[in-house]
Amino acid sequence: MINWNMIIYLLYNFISIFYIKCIFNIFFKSSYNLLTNFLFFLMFLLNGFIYLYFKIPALSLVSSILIPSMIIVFMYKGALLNKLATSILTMFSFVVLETVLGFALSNMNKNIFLYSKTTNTNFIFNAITFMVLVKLLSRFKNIKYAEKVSLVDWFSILVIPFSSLLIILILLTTNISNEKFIIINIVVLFLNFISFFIFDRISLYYNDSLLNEVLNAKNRMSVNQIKNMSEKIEEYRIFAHDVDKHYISIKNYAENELNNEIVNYISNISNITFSNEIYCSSNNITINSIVNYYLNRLNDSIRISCTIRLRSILQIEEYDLTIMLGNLLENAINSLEHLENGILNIEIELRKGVLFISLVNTYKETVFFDRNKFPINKNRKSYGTKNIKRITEKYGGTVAFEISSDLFSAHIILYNMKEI
Amino acid sequence: MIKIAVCDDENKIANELEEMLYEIAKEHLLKISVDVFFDGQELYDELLNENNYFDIIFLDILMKQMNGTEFSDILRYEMDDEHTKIVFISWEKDFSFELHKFRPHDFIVKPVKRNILQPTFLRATKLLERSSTYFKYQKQYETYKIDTKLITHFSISGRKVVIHTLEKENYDEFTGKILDVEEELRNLSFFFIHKSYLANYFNVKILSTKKAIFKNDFSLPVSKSHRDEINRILLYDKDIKREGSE
Repeated sequence: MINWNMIIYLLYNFISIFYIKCIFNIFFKSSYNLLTNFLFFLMFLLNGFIYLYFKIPALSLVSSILIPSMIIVFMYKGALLNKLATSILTMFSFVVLETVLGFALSNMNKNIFLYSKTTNTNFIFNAITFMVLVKLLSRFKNIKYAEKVSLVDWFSILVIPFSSLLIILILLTTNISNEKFIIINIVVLFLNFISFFIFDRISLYYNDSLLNEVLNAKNRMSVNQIKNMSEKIEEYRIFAHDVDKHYISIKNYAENELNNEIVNYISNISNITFSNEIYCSSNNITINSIVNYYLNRLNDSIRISCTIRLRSILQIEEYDLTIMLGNLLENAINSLEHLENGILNIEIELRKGVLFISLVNTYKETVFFDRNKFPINKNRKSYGTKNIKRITEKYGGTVAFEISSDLFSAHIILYNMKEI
Repeated sequence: MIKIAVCDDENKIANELEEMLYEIAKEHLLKISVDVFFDGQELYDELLNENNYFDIIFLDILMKQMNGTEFSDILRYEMDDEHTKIVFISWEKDFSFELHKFRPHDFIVKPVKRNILQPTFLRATKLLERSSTYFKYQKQYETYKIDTKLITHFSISGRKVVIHTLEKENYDEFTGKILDVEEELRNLSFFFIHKSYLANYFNVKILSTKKAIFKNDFSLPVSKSHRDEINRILLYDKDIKREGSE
């Protein structure tokens, strides 16, 4: 004869421990920790032992909630305040959930020192509700940073668990045999547990693809913008190159006193202005265009120093260079826009097959750093740094941002040749 | 042996300079070798393709094919060479202020006179000696030393550490741990590119994500697990490395 009560309890025991571990991973950097995993395993054995030999619900509740909240949580790496908050939250939510669910189902045994026959339903309800709790906590942890909860998330958080609970409630009112009822309960629990993983993956994929789409759209826009800039800069270059010829033509007209021709000639070329300065004239047109375009947007009080040393041909794709330099310069220009007497120092050098990019500028606004040491503003908006990071990683390089009292620096290295 | 290059498109000046250098070296018991080049491009090709290096370069500023300024720019920034002493030579008395960014050792006005050349040259040799760093190792009961700028890399062979130089693939070997060598040379331009290879950045010609090619065209694999550390060194310690390679 199969002891269904024991199977249900062990399943519940396993799932509740798993969810507690999930909660801890939400609040502490999720990493493999042998000690905590071992303690969770011991807790699983202890809970099973208490259930089998004592059969006292209150004692099981104490062992399944107090051990993780009072002992295991303190084995994680993190601030004490964080540990205490997690401990209280876990204890509070699990006790409240168990109690409320018990009352709501009217299955709460009046005597908390004895298990009743209907306790199994409670276990299933608890397990499913814990799952909802874990999902809610993981999804809403970053809600203050305006992170949206996707439709897929809502579906997995609410629809699946609550429809499962409804099915169990309906079954409770029917005359289904106890054995069948328990099997259905186990199946429902299993499906919920599986959906916990599947929807997590779907949600991640959905968010990633959404993010990629947004990034690609932004990148396409930037590339178009840079293409326009390149064309403009090229026009200036051609004009600057031919300026001597224009002078000769005008001089010829003047010597022959052809005033009308002089006026016509000048009006033909007057739509090209000379105001744009060439700060960078390396052998890489993309870099020249981007740097010259952005530097010409700065006000005259900014002291600009620009050193570009590129003798070998860059094998880094123009598209990537455009996105990376565009983002870096855009951020620098935005910081310098309202400043008087600021400085901007750009260095791009190719040394021994490694491209070094360094950009230092004065800044005034408050800059924060996220957990990856990437700069963000007060609204937690990144400065296009995700794109920069992606590109540096593509070329095997790295990026570092630094701030001093009034200087913001970005240092990047990229390998010109990924494979040789 | 001090390796010297004289680079001037005026044959007469270049040859006179070569002769004077040999004379001074003979008088002061210095071992030198002088190579003469007639334009910057020729000198650049020698450095790049012929597995060569120079301790002192006497460099004419105005040359038709790759002038002295262009060459210095490549040497200092692209080749990342801070070891070589550059002495600019020119007919002009007023040297451009711009040349200082190449950290020259001195300036000499043509025609080159011995009483001007001698102190400049001897001071350069002294500075070279002072800035040289030697790696010392023991074999049996004897201690050996080698100038670190000649070493391309160290490797492991059983319980021995093998020294590889620009000129000899297996220069020498001694019993020891490569980790101890790294600790000793950490402040210079040496870093691990693989658990078995300790490379000298000073003698690296091209570094990629997969390989390090040395100035003598010998190449070694770069392991994925060391890439983060290499990136960190290049990003943060590049100035230290530059100083260290002197």
